[in-house]
Amino acid sequence: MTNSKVQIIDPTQLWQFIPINQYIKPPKPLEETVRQGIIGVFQKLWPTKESTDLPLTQKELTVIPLTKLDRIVPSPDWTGAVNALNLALDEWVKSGASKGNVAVVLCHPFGGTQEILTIWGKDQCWLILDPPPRTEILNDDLNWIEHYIKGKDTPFVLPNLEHYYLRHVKGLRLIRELFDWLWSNSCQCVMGIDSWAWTYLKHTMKIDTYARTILVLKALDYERLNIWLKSLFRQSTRRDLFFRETTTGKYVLSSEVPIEDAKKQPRYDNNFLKNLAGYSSGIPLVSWEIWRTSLRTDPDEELLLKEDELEMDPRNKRRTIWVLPWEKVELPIIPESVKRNESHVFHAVLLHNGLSIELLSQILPISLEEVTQSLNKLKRLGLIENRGDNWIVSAIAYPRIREFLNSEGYLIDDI
Amino acid sequence: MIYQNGEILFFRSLTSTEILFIIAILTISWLVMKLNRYWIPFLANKFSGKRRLYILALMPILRLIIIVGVFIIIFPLIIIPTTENLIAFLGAMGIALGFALKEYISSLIAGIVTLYEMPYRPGDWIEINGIYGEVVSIGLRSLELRTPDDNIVRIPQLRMWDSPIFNSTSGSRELLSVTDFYLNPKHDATLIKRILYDVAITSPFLQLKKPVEIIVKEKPWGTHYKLKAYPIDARDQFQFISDLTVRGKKALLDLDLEFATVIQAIRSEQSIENF
Repeated sequence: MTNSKVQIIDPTQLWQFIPINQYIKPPKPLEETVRQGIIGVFQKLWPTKESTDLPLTQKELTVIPLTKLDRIVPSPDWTGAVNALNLALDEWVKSGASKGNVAVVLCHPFGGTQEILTIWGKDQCWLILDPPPRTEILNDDLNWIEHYIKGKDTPFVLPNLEHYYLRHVKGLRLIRELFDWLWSNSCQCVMGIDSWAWTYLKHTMKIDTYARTILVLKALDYERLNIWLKSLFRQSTRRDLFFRETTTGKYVLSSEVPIEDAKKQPRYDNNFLKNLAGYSSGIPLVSWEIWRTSLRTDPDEELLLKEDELEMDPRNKRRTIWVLPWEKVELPIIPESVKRNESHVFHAVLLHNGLSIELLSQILPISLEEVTQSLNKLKRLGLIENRGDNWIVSAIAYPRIREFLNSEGYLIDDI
Repeated sequence: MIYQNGEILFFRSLTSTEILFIIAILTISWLVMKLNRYWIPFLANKFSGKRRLYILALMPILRLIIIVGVFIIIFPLIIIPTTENLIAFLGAMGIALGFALKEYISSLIAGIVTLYEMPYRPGDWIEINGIYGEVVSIGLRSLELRTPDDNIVRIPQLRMWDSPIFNSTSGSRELLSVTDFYLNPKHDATLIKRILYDVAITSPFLQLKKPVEIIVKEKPWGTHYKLKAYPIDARDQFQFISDLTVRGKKALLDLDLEFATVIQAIRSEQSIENF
């Protein structure tokens, strides 16, 4: 589908925090939904490994080395999002506790909101609290709440509330005490919470009744993605980069079509961005990860020259980065061999935004050995990864895992 | 009514091609129905949750379509299709079958009624005549249940006429599971209710979209707690109950609570009798 029309969005409006009831996910293109449905049925009936063979032209392109990739698609700068959060919370902050003393900022996994909240808290000079060690939570130890919360009247930020409970008989006391205290006090508090933990605690403890202000980062639809992805490479390199699809040669990001090409015919195709926004549900770091995975370069072309050379030769400022067509982007699949133990692991890891092997074996009715086996299997499939001691689902696989858990009947996040 | 030489014509005279055609239709439909019993469950087991139940539900529907289709194709080939002939045919069939194959035909009719009324569907968990299990397939004459011990039990459809059918799922994937705890009556029941609630909401098998309920009943020998909750999938019900029992027992023992025992029950029975 080719579309040369681009709706113009004010770049300053790229990030917006909106009330939860206004949240809308970007739609998945119909063709892609049908294609995925057919592939899914075939995979169920005749499970085979997806072919990773690419056409010759794509084989000739190579994966971009990590250091160079970090310059083309660097880690996001959250300044704009922090400003947006500041704007959204401004009235509530000024109101004191008259509009409720708790404001909740919901965050999808890989939504980046924890980082945004931490920066916002520092800017506001509010107290930013780190969660207690999880062993303390499991031991019914309330020292943390006695020490850091009770008896204080300074406004504070809890950037990741999902780290204040464990889905264990002894893992819920701390969060109950915390909410009881907040309910009976007027100290202002901004809580960042993962959407999965929020849904779980909403169903089991009705925590949504504690907060009147519940915000969520507006999803990045394809138009916002277009602005964001362009801003990413511009924040790290001064050169103009053109992102073109490998099979058609069409430009993936709008308003980057060179003048000589624009004269001929519209050469911009937003199909990739629409698919990216639909698959990732507009979650920033899921889109970011997939975008990085889909980029290729021509090995004959020296990709990034030194900055001083750029200054000397303006012609070198224009470089082409090749983007795989959406159908060729290697997204992990969940094979039939993923059984109940593995789905429990997925759900537990998502409810807590990461768990260690030891905690997983304490929370789930499976042994340490079985947990290890499941984690190794899922890691091999590219569905899960470890960050230090904690295991988290991989960003690129998150949308598939969410769909899988939904089809298995688990309670999934409801935003 | 069609006459030939003053006699009513009932059956058509069949050519050898027509006879072969009828045999072919019957054979193919029998084969397709047999295959249905294998490939639909095979296909359904590739999926999970609602998709599995939807696919399993196709089994009786396809069978009904085949039966009706075969009847529509074959009937006019054998019998001259007039109203009188149809009434005469059905009457004769009724008398013959009523005497000779009463039980068998009753089961077949019950099977057809089952296809229409659907008191149970493949994938449902039901209890008939004290036999509990998952409906694996529904045939015209009998249905197959897989018990929790993995035995396959074949129950004649005839039972539908005179036996109560307990259907725990009725087409959905969830089913209410009840886990029992029996405690010595000297304890704080509010605290126990809260702990058992936490035991339920922390079980990975729990269907969080469904409510959790705890019923307390005082007995002469102790307090009976019924923890009512739904597992994510009906097939997990026994693992779910085991998980709730194991973790519930641990949580209660950590509070130094005493469980009700048989000795207490006998003592209480004796004290009631003495009284």
